[in-house]
Amino acid sequence: MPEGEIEILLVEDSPADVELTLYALRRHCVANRIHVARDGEEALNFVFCRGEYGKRSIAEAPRLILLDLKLPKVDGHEVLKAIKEDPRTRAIPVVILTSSKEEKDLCASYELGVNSYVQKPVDFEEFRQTVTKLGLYWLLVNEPPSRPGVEREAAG
Amino acid sequence: MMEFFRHLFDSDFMPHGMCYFWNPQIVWLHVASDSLIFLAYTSIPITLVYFARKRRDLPFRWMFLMFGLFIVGCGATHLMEVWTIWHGTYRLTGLVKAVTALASVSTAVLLVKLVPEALALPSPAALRVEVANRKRAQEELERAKEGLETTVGARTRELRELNEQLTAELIERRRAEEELRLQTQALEAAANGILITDPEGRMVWVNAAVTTLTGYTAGELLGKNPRILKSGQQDETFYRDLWTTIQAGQAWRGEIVNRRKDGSLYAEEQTITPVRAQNGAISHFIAVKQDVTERKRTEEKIRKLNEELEERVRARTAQLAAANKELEAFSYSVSHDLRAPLRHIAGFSRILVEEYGPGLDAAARGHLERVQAGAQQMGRLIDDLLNLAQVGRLQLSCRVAGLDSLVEEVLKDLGSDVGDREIDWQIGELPSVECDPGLVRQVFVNLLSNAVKYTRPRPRAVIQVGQTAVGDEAAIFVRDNGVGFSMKYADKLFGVFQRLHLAEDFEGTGIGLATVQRIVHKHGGRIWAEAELDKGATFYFTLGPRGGADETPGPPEPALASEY
Repeated sequence: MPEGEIEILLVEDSPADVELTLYALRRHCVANRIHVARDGEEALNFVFCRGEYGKRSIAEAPRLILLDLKLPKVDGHEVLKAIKEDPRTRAIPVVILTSSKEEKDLCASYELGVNSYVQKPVDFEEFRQTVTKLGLYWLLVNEPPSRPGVEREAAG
Repeated sequence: MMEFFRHLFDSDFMPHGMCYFWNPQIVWLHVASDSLIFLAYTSIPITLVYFARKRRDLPFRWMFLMFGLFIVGCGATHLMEVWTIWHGTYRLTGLVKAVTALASVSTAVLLVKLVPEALALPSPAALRVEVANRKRAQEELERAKEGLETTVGARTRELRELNEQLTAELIERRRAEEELRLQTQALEAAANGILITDPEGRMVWVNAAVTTLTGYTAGELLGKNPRILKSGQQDETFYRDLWTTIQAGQAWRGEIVNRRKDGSLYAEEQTITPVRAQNGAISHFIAVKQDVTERKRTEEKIRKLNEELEERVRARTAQLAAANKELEAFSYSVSHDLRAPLRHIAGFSRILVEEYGPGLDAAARGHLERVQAGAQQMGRLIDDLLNLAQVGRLQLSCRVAGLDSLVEEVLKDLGSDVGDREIDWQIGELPSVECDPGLVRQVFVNLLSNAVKYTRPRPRAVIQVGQTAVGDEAAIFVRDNGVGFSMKYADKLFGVFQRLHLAEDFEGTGIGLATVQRIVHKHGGRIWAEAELDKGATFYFTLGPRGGADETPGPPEPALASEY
């Protein structure tokens, strides 16, 4: 794992949620290199190395994206759609982590190819356990492919 | 003369024998001859009398009697001759002779008188001819009679048949007359106006309803043309079309606005039918009219009301659609946005305890715990309300599901609520029914967790689930021996946020039973409870109106969805 590689991209507009999520993740040392994008646009820029993230390489894809649905500018579903439509980013595991478990949100997310959908529990203990489990599972348990998108770009 | 008859039988003369000098030969010759003559003369009238008696049809029978009488007289004179030989009773002899003479003369005279009559008597030969003639005539007569009888028989039969035919015709005519009388009465009494006109359109018969309808008397109408009812509301083309139609022998149907005698207008529905005579020409027109003024007024009113109603429905639907959309957005926003601050409250108060706990006193920690508990309760409320709203919006996805396996699953999931409590589960036989299993599972989750919750004060809880017949429908029941409730609050059980217990005694959001009721109603069933304070409670529910056709589905959804 190269130094400085971002393990988790957290897309979350609420600073309180950002703080609570980071608190939960760091408390259990699940992940240390976490990047936070505060809206959908920033998230896409980060993933596709555009705008303020233009100097980044797409090969340095995050190993997990935790994505909220209600986001300013570009909402979570649009972000998900862009990532899953692009062959270079399609393999990045995206987990929706949101307040809602509305049926239509669930359906839309799975149709767009989300890897997992998790509702944020109100109870903090539950929340912490959930986030911890997510981090452990996707970063340690789950086996990712050998970066097809990155290789293609390198070849190009 | 008297002297003569006094000595009638005196024998004072010489006997006649003396004249014969008693010469025996002469005496006995006379005696024998006279006796024989007497006997013969006596036998002849006996024979004649016998003959006359036997042949009562003999002509001149009395003549035979006369002959008899005069022969008897002659016989008697000969007997007297024998007598006078020895006795000189010549007075008696003379009298006998006188009587005989009288009879003889009478007979002779009568006989003479009888001759022409006797001559007129037919001779036996003539009689035979006559008899033959008569026999022939008789035979002819017999033959004629026979022919006549045949003719008479045939004629009688014809007459009988004719008579029968006439009787039948008479009965038929009486029946027809009776029918005609009834029909006339019916026509007269009919609620519809009926009028009959001649081919020129002059009214020849109207019933009572026509006079009621038009205000004219029958006398005022008969002989006139129905155009006296014209209101001017229809143009001439209308009447021309009508007249052309019926003149062509076709029935005309339509609505006409006419004018009553008092000038008021009325609408009538009319059918005019031409009637043809046997020669095919139109002989009459029959018009049947019905006053539709009131009906048209009502129809117009209904039409207006309908329009208004439709307009209102459209407006209301638009409002509702807008409200629904708003609600959906609201519900979505609640789902997302209301939970976030709660999470923050709960999260940061937790962090506060974890990070700064050692520096806080017990009271401060207690307050922070309450903050967390409050946030959690609020979270549950939001979850339950969203679920209730979702149940209202969801389309049922029904399939046949075994309620027993649903209950089994729910019992497994209830484990954490039960803990190490002693609960006697008595699960009876449960049917398989067509339902939305996910929703019905929620019903059992709510009812069973309620039963577990409200039996908490019991050292040994008994919870029964089963099926029972209520009236003619099968109901599922969940019974517990918990704290129950007073039936006077039973109507509040299924209302949102309605709670019959303190939150510190029994936790809850007050939304569970409202959700249960909504699910049951969505299935077309009903739910109710029976309970007694401190004795336990039984909840019954049905899924769908299966018990009978008269089963009314649950009451319409209360307007809960509009409350959040």
